Amino acid sequence: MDIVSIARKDMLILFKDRSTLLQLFLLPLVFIVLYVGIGTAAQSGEEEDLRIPVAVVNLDPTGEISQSFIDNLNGDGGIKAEVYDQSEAQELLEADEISRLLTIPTGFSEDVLSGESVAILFENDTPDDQENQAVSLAVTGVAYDTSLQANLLGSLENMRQMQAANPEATDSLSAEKAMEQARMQFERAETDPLIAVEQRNPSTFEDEEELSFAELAVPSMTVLFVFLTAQTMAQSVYDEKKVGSFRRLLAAPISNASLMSGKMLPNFLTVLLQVAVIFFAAIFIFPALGWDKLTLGNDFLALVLLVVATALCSTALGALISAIAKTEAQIGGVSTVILWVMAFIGGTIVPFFLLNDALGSIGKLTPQFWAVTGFYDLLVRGQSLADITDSLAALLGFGLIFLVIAIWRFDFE
Amino acid sequence: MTTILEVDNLVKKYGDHAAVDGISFEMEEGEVFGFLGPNGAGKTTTISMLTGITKPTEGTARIGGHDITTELDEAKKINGLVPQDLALYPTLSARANLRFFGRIYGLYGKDLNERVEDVLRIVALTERADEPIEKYSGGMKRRINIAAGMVHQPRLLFLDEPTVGVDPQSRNHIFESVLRLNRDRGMSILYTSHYMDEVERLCTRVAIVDQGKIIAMDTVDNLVAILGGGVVLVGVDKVDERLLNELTALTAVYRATIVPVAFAPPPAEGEEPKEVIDSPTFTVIKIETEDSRDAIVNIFTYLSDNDITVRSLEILESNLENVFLHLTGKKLRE
Repeated sequence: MDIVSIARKDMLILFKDRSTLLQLFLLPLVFIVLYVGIGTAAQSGEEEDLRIPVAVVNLDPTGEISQSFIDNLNGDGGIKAEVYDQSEAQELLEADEISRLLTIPTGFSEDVLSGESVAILFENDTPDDQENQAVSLAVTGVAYDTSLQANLLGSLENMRQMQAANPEATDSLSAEKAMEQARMQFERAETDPLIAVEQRNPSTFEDEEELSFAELAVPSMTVLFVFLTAQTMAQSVYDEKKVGSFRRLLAAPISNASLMSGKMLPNFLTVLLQVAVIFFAAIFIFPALGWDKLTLGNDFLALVLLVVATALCSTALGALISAIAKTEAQIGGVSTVILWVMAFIGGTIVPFFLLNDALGSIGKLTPQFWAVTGFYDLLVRGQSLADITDSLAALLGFGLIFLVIAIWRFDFE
Repeated sequence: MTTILEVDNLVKKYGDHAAVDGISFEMEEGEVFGFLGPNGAGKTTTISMLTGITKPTEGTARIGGHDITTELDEAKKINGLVPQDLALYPTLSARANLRFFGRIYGLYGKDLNERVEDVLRIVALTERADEPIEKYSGGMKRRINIAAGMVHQPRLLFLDEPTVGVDPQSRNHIFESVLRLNRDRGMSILYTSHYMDEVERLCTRVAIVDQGKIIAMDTVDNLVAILGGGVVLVGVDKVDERLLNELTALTAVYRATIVPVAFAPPPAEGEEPKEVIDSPTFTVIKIETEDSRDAIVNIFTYLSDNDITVRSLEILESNLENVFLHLTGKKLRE
């Protein structure tokens, strides 16, 4: 009950402090709006080519049909086909600089003209289902048209050759024969197309560049501000010591563990409330600004566990700061170093996949990285509890380390 | 009479510095016991050890029979602390503060409500109990500070310099509250201060503390009697053994001795006392009298008859402040 009494008193004090309330609950929403607004404006400032880029490797560069296929792709209106060298294309695909790659095989034109079935490999490395479907349809459509075109031309050429070989057979190239051939080729193009499209989609999501800024902002700003709350806890402990009430609490018949727990509980509850407020805004308020509505993913239990683990980690970090910072200036200084630097390299201010490889690896040394990764996995990628076990373990591990150091270093006198 | 507090050779060291250097005393239940000493004497550190805020380096104490080193929680339940700092939550109301501190001591429900209203009545702040503390005057804050220390009805209340920075009206109110608590409710009180008049007014017995040690302990009357009829400090050019003996032989004079160094102010907390003092060009003789009025006439008659020029004169009245000065050579407050 001592823990609850201390926590209740701290929550009462917190909810009378308007500036702290604004910092904890309104500022994250403001940051999200700014983040999305600036990001969206940056995107729309560029000259927009609305066509979906598709990289093409043409292993049949001299073939007429392969060139026709590429021209038909560009002529579709929705696709921008760019031809690359094979090795260059592979490198770009692996580096996530391109996300869709069509490979036209060697001998493509010859096989098509000789009536042999051939397959084009279409590698699609993006999770955007709507766009994927559109591109797939377009490529399949162009393959069908090219296939039909080739079939028709082929059959007409056959008829011409037959006519040339047997001039007396006047019905070889008659209008009726041509129509009948055309009908047959249409049927064949539908049931047994010459050009098939072999699709290969990734099993895991690789290309975060396809995320909208709204999808980026909510998880990262949530994690940023949840961990910044740790500074509030450290300030609360400092204020209590400065005012002198801490001495009174030490003279009271409550254990040091109860005293510390009572100071930590409000931070934990505040973080839960913060997350609830931000998610509520992302689901019900931000869509009014034209953004995509945040969905809570496919595994609500996993989301709850992730929020709880993040809250525990942030609370333990607050205890650590209150243990090592002895003055108000030190609280500010330590918070700047620990919270903002960790926030940056953890990927809450700049998405970690936009940081270079070295910095991105260092990010794994921060709890923010694991929290942001966990939220992305659940909210954006639609993954489940089994997929975020490493994030949960990392957050709880960090929390335990922070707490042990805090208990060791906390000055109770 | 039962003993509510037994202190046995308490020591507190910070590095090599002994803030409390072997303090021992006992306090009877129902007593108002004074701890008088300058800033840095070790009063607050002693209370910190007795209330469990800090651990003693050596020694122990028993509060209500509970040893503070082995049964600290039990000892804490029966004592209360009114710290020197205003240990309150400024944005909360007086009532909210008192309710919180009551809960910390295990009070709930009807008991808690009754206790809170009771202490508000004692400190006469019932009407403003729902205003935030930050809107109170300094004196009112001090009164709520006291109320918070006694909301759980402790048997022994530690009051650590409760009137610092307080206006005279509030100061009187605090005195009245302390006396009422002791007289009407039998609360034992350990009262620390560097104001002699408070201690003389409130306390039955006083321990004079300096540099972490108790240098004298007795009732106020007995302590003051150390000065006899008073002390006269006379500055003259030259002093020898003959002069001291002749002064001692005067009627109403008890003893005459040379003051070895000039009086130095007490050091600030944590600092060492000054070793080298600028010495005056004359020597001061301390003359302890049986009656200062008679003695002064005799002293000046003698000095005049012997053509001895008086360079300085100070008469120390019989009070605790001068007892401290007499015992330590330092003033209680600088």
